[in-house]
Amino acid sequence: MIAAFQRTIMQTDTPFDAYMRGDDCALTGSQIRGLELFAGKAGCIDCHNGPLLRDEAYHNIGVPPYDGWEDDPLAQITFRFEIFAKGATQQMYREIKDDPGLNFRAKHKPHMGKFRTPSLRYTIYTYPYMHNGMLETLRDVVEFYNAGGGENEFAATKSEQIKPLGLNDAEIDDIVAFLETLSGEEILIEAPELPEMDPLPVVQNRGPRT
Amino acid sequence: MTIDLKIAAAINGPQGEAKAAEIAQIDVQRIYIAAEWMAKPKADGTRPKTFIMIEKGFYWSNNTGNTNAISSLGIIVGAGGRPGQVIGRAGGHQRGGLRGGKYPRNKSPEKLPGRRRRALDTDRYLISGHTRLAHVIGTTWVKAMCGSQSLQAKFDELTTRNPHQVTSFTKEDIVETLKQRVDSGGMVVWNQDIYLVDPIGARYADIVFPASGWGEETFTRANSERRIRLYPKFYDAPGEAKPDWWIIAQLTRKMGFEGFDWQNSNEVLEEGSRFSRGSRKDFHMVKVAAHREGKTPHKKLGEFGTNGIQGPVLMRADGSPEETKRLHDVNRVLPPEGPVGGTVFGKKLTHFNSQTGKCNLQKAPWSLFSSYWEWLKLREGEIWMTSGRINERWQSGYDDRRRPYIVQRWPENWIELHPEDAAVYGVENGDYLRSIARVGDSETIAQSCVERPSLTPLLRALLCRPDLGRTELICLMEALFRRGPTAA
Repeated sequence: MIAAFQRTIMQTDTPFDAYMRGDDCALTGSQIRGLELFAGKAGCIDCHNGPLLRDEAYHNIGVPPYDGWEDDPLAQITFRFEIFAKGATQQMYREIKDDPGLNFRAKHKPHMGKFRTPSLRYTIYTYPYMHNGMLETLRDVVEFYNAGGGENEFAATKSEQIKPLGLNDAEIDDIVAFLETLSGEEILIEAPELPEMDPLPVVQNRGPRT
Repeated sequence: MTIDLKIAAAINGPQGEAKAAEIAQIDVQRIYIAAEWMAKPKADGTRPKTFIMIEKGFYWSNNTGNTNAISSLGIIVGAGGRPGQVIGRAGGHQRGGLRGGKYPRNKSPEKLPGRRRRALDTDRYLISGHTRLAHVIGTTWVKAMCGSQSLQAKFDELTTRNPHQVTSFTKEDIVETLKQRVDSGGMVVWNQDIYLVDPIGARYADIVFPASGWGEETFTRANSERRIRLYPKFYDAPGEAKPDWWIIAQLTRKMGFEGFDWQNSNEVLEEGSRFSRGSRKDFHMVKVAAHREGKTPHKKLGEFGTNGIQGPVLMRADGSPEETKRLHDVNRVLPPEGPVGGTVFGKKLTHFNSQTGKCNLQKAPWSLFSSYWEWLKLREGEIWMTSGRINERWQSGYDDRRRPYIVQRWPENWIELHPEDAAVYGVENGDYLRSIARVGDSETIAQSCVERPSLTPLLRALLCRPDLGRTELICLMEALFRRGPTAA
């Protein structure tokens, strides 16, 4: 039912979609240069491809842990609880400093710190970025990749595809300009009127009718 | 082996193995010998390849402590998840199908405190007289369950002994009579099976839907190795027999439900595949691959031939399918890119299905079971009968009476007796015997609720109802049979 609802909110009003449909004026010069970098020098398309601009696979790109887990007591308690609740050994529960991501699924060590590539569609509305919200703006994200990703405690599983890209400031601007073309009008859903929450009716065990 | 014995000692006290030997009626040295066979490292330091096979009746005893203990033993000796080392039960079971839809639990009439409800127990619901329409598909029902005499009595009351019996050949009259029966508190029974089953089809059913069987329709199933494969049709169904999916589709459409407009069994498979995701027979990715190649899942599965494809089927990043050779494989390396697309990983693929993925060894203290064991002793002059198994006879014997081979080979029930036991009773091979059981009706044990899992309060509360059972048997005498407990 959720999938059926989601199919009703498909929206392709983005400048990028218009450009792909043949409207050459839909993107500016900077945005077109950004697209070329996206698909070329920056290598974004290696993972962000297909209709949703995602490969539906899991990677560790070295996003550092959320610093609140170190210095915000409430965040730390929440983090520890989540680690415990999702299933961790005693040692892992006490010592781990970061979200092990996909490892929770199959408890498989090579999956430590891996997260599913997200879609880039309508992404200007989804800040802050990365799985733990460590980056504030799209420009921060591109700079993060340009520096060859970051470092977290799962260095052993970091993707080999993440390397310094050697982009200059103008090129970073172009890519950010292109990323902004992947969003159209914000998708907002009006909350439907929901029926009153009633307790379940008591079904009586009736004997044979006479 | 020190580890094992320490565990045994921790569970059952310092005399653990001596007590175990006493219970098992064997010499204690044999336990040490067995332990060495199972786990003593070889000269080169490697461990022996141990595998454990459990007779399936072992865990039907409702003694979960025993099952727990042998599972723990299996884990300690490294049985399971490795080549040549398994732990499993002997005896097949109905494992080939795909799990059906969920019952609407919140509509169950069996209410628990709060908002919870217990899943409907169809036996008890019927015995309580609430069932108005029973659609029985491919099961003997009345004969299959413990306490079946009370079930059968209620079936009789609700159907054949209800005053509203069909006496006309006119459709309107038949419908009117059946409606009157339901309104009077009786029951209408539909039976859907591949042949007429007595009594559910022969005596109680008002409408019989003849169903086609194996080979009479192209279909898909998995064997016990989780090999999902296509079983092509090679034979026409007799008479008006139709596949189950066709019968269900007709009924549901007639009842006004949407979405049952399948044209063939492949369409049923197409609709069902995504419900297999994450299960041990997950074949959803086969459908995804088939559609990418412009094929139907049936066509794609046909390409895997007789061996089929072993579930759960994962899909790699390049779109190629990956079979699962061992369901729980401690040495397996999963694709590094994770579950791509619609693939689902479960921790069972490489780990235990616990919260942490690690094994939880649990205590199985003998004290939980000991009172039952103390009670369950041969009394003077008793012979115990277990459900004897022979190769040709399957489960409850539901299919056996219509097979000439079995009927001719085993025309009568029999009892296996040791010659010394036989001598006590003065019986010989081939004699007709009558056995009388004083305790029966195990239904009440399963349904009882006691503070501690011990038999004594059960007996005290008389939940374990002493009963009489009589069976006619032919004597089979052989010195290899055990004394006392016997098969019949």
